Amino acid sequence: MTLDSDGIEHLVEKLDKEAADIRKNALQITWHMRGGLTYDQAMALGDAERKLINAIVKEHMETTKKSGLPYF
Amino acid sequence: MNNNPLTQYFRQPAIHIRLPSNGVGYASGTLDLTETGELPVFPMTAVDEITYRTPDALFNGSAVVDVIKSCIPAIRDPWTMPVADLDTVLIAIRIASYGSEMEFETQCPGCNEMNNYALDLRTVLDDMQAPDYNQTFRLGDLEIKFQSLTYSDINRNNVSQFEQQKMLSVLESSNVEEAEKLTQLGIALKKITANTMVTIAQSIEAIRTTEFTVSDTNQILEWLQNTDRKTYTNINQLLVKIRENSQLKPLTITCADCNNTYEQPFTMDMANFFADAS
Repeated sequence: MTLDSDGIEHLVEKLDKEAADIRKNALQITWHMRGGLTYDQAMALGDAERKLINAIVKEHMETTKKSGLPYF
Repeated sequence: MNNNPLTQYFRQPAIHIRLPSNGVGYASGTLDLTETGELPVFPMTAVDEITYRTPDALFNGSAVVDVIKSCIPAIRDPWTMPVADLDTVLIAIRIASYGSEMEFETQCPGCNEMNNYALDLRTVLDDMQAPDYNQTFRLGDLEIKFQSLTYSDINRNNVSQFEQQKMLSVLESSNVEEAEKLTQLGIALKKITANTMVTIAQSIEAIRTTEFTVSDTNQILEWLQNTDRKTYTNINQLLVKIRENSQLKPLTITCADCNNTYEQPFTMDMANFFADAS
């Protein structure tokens, strides 16, 4: 891969943002698991497992919204 | 033996791979080959993904080394891994982490239309071959035997090359006088040439004649620096020839818009290594 200085700067910004997104997602997973998973354990998950947990959380949120029950 | 009862809940290998080198060229104690000659590959964790997105760690090579150690623990010292196995290892980690399908965008040189394609990385893995370093080449009285560079060699050379190119690009846009620019340009080009020569010397395992065998890289480098241009060019061409079968092959693509068939180079680099972050 060959990049000029603008390209390198753009790539570094993109990588920083993606790394921040991964950290944020691991923290979200930890929060939604209510102590069932520590931050370290969330950081040890693979992409496929994180996607599955995210899908379960989304499903749960939708069910909660439909049922009108409080969600903390 | 790990006595932790939680080991059964550790991440599991997603695929098993056979190295193109079959383990040849690894120093003793740096590779744990299984009975079948295959290595288990684990998916990347979130920590690995962040490591692989850390620019400084990418630049100095430690990101690749740390991720290989995490995902293919059987490769105990990735710095000394023959570079012929590198593409296979990275493709395997990508498959284990995100699945075998990789989407990519390409522009048809015929009609300039952008097209999206999906590539099955398993077919790329199946085609991977290691150069045959058992063969030797004769150059006059000399018999040359090549060897694979290690990841450490290639990384050091790439960093050095990057620094020289960066210096050249800074020089180009600076207000330095033309004569000084030319001097600096000459110095940088000399360093790039010296770097290339070191890479070639590191690629030679031994040079034999009927009377002696030389395997000391410094002595081989000294010989390269003092040989004639024709011999140097021949060595370079032999290296290209020996490595050509092990390069990632370009993809043959037929444009969906104009039916033009063209070749698209395929590399496993930062631009396509990751699937979208979760």
